[in-house]
Amino acid sequence: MSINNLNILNQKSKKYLIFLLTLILLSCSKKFDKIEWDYSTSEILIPKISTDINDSIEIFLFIDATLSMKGFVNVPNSIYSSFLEEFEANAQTGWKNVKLNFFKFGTKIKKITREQFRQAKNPSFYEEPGIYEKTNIDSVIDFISNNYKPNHIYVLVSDFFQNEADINLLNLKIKQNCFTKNISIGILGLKSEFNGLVYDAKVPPYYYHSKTDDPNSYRNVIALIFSNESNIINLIDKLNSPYINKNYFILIPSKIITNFTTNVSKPKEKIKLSLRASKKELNIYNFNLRDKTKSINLNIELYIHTIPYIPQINYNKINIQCFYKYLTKQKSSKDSIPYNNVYLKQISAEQNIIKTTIIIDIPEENAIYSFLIYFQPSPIDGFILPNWVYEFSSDNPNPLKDQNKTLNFDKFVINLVRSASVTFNFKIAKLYINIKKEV
Amino acid sequence: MMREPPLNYILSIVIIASIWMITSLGIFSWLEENIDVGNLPVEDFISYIRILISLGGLLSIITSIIWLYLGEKPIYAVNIPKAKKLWLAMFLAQVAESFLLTLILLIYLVIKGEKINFIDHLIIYLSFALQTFFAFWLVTFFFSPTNVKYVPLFKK
Amino acid sequence: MAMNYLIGIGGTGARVVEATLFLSFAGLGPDHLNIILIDPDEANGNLTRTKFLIQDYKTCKSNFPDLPEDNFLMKTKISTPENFIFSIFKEKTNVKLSDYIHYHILESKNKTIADLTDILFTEEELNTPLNEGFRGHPSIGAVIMSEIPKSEDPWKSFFQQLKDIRTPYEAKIMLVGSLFGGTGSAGIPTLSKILKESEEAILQNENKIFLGGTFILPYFTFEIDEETLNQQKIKMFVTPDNFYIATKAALAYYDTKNLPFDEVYLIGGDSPRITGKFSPGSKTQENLPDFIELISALAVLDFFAQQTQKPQSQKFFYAGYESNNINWNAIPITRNQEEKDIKTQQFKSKLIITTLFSYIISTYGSNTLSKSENEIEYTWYKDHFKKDSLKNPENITKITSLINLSKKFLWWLGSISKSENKFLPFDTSKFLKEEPEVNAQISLLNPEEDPLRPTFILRNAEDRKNENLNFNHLITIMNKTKIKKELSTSTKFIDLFFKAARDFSTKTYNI
Repeated sequence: MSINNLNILNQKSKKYLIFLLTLILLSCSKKFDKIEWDYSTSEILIPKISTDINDSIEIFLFIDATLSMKGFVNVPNSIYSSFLEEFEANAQTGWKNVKLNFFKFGTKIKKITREQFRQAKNPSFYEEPGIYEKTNIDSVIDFISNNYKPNHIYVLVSDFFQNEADINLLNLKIKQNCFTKNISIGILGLKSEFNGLVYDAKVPPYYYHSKTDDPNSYRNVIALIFSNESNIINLIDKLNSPYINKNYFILIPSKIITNFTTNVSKPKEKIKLSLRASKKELNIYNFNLRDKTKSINLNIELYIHTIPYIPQINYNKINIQCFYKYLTKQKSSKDSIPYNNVYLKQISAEQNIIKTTIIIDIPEENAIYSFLIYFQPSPIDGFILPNWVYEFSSDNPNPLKDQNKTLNFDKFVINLVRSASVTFNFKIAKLYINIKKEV
Repeated sequence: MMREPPLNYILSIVIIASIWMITSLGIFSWLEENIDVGNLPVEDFISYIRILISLGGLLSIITSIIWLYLGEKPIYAVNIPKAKKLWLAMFLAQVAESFLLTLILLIYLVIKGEKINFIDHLIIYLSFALQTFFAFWLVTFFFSPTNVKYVPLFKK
Repeated sequence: MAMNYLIGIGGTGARVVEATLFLSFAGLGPDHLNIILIDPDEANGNLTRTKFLIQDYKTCKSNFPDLPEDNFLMKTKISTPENFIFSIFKEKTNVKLSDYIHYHILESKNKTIADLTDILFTEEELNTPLNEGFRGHPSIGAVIMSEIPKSEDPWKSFFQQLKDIRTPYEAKIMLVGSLFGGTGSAGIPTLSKILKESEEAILQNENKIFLGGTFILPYFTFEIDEETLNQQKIKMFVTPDNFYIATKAALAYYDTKNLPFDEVYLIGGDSPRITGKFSPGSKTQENLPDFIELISALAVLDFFAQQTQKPQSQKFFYAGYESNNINWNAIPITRNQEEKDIKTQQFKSKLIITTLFSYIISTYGSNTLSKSENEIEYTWYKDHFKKDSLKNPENITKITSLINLSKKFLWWLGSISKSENKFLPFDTSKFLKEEPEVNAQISLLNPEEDPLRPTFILRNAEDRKNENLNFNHLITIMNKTKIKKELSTSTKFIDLFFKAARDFSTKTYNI
């Protein structure tokens, strides 16, 4: 081949190469048009539980010093006495620096010294005038509310006899002064030997003596623990005495979920709905809809990981809360709009997996619709209390029946859980369904 | 001149790449907006068939270049029947390849537990066909070396 | 325009004309050449072969008038009078010298002349039929050829053309013949005077004719079978023993007669080749071509290549070979030493290309034409020839004519390349199945049967440039060859093969 021909050949080759490269560069895949949300899960997930033992903590121990508590110390070395005695030692192991403050309360709160606290195993501790007359838990709640800091734990030990009026007031107080401040509550149930008078029942005080060898005859002692979830769990984990049954502990936290994952799929039905690339890690699911259908069904799977000690979630009583945004060629929604046309159907749960089907009504206009769907337990009956709460409770303990049980304890706990649900607005999962409608 | 190396090699690559643009970026982009693959994200599906068609395109480039290289050999100047056999074998290999790619896709869908409708299958198969044996036929029709210029089907 | 005439006298003259024609076929000849053959033995095998060759050449030339400029095949236009053979005698059979000179009348009317005749000629010379030639007796020929009929062709056309010449020495006439036979050695001196001294040749004080002569010395021999001679009662004939004596006598005679040649070429060799068995004449007298005839033809072409000008003096050129191995450089291609290399290269190149062309068109080309349209799948065919355009009878006839001419060329080249001939640049075993024989068709090796066989038609390694090229490469070149669309279909076919042969030769051989 002559040199001239070679040159022409080279020039033509270069032209075609440039053309090829241009074609490649011009190509790009089409992206799914976006509506943006705040994709953080902080409204659902509990902050990570800290196990840093370098933390400093201040524990405030409030002991009910009313007459109804005297019977617990009339039996030498009762579980109640041991609990108080060992509390200090156990608490010290939870953090590097633990400062303990002791209080007795009844009609009023009185700060006591450590030596005075150590007298709590003596009956005379419960005979101080100006204190022994009335169990005024409200004052303790006020104190907690006024003094709370994140590195504080408030422990209230009492037999917790409350009439219904008091319970409602107490619940309200706790809701207003604790829940609104993101203070969680742990409730520990203990059974201790008792020999003395039971006060504040619906009947006149009656004498009760538990049987030494029959723990079922022991009388209930309740410890309420106020702090953040992390501190409460840490404290409970450190209370390792043999008489402490952690199954008799219930936590009412500000958030109940440590982690969740979702999966959305479409049922096999003849509808022009196609799944697009989604971001499962952000719980975002994209669909194209080229059907005139007014609603679509989607199969949802939720994998829920709850924090320990909370009441069991009643998966049959899950509600959904939905918001949406839209985007058309002409307009878009700036803020999210509540959307009520999303329904739950056929829910089932197995261990920590919830399976359900949702029905979403789709507006008629061609647009991109983005639905934010929250799953949450029903505020009324979204939780199932453990049996021990009911076992500890009675609506009328009297000398003939339920002598050793706690008046209205279950009501107290139920109301507390409900208040927490409402105040904390528990959510167990959320997901984003984006639907691009083109008909 | 278009039938001489290296121009015919480059033109062949350009043509096959252009067909890839049409199928992978054109047809498949359209398909992305219009196909339903059950619970398999459409993008994942389209990415997969893009990989398959890229493989098809690569193989048709390789086959075409082998043909262009061998077709330049003097032995085929006289022995046209041998050249015809070679071309036909290569062409049929590409046809088989188009079916193989479709089969791989079918297996993929079975593994994923999903399916697509017949028209979408047909569109995808036609795209594979375009990228494999049609591309091979096209480049050999226009750019075969002079010795074997008239070997490709329908070249008169 | 210059008037070029080649006059071949006798059998050897005819064979030199044959060689000249083949060199013209290979593009080595002048632009235009007129040919006359002189031989009383009209049935002479050599003459007949040359006569048919002239006809074939002219037919082919007229069949392909539109061959492009860069195609050198048949560049020379060969012209002949309608009757281009001067057979000397009007009667075709049993013409004797005694009849020609009316001896019987002389006996009765002019006894003195009759007696002189008796002194000059023997009874056998007077009474032997001469229509098979002068039997090696130039004295007889000299008498017979002392008069030429100007009113009849071929001389009528010759002198008519000569009359039209207006410039001195513009008519180049070359007489070629042997000195050791009868017709040639008689005709050469006789005709030289007749032509040069004719009134048509005189222009004021100058001569229109620039006369050349190519005299061929003995270069072949043959076996004498006395028994056959006795059976056939042949009494007057020439034998190889007489060749050198006859030659010497002829040269001595020419020397005394101051013959009017302007240029003379003397061609000879040392050891003559045995041609075959003796034949007194007629069609049995046919010899295989010899490379001496090639050399003589080169002398003819050298003569015609010169510019016409008034000769300053008589020039004599001689060529002989020194070794048994005649290679390209040993070929006497030109009188000008400074042009030798270029002309040798041209000669070599055109001869090789023509050989290759002849070979491939006679085999591959011919085979292609015999195939049906559907069987022909070659790119070159489909590119240049529309469906069935090549297959019409007219095109087939034209191409076949050139194929036949090409086969003759290969036969001729094969003959002069036989080892005893010593012209050995070509390895004919690469394209011929067997060595050529007189009166036998050549048989060619089919390149399609073994396309990987290297196409080395040249014997010496130094002549070969690329050892790896073969028939497949040639067809590849053919597929890529471009030819003009405006050519006629048959010309396209020829030109395609020619250009393929040319381009392939350029790559394969040192040309």
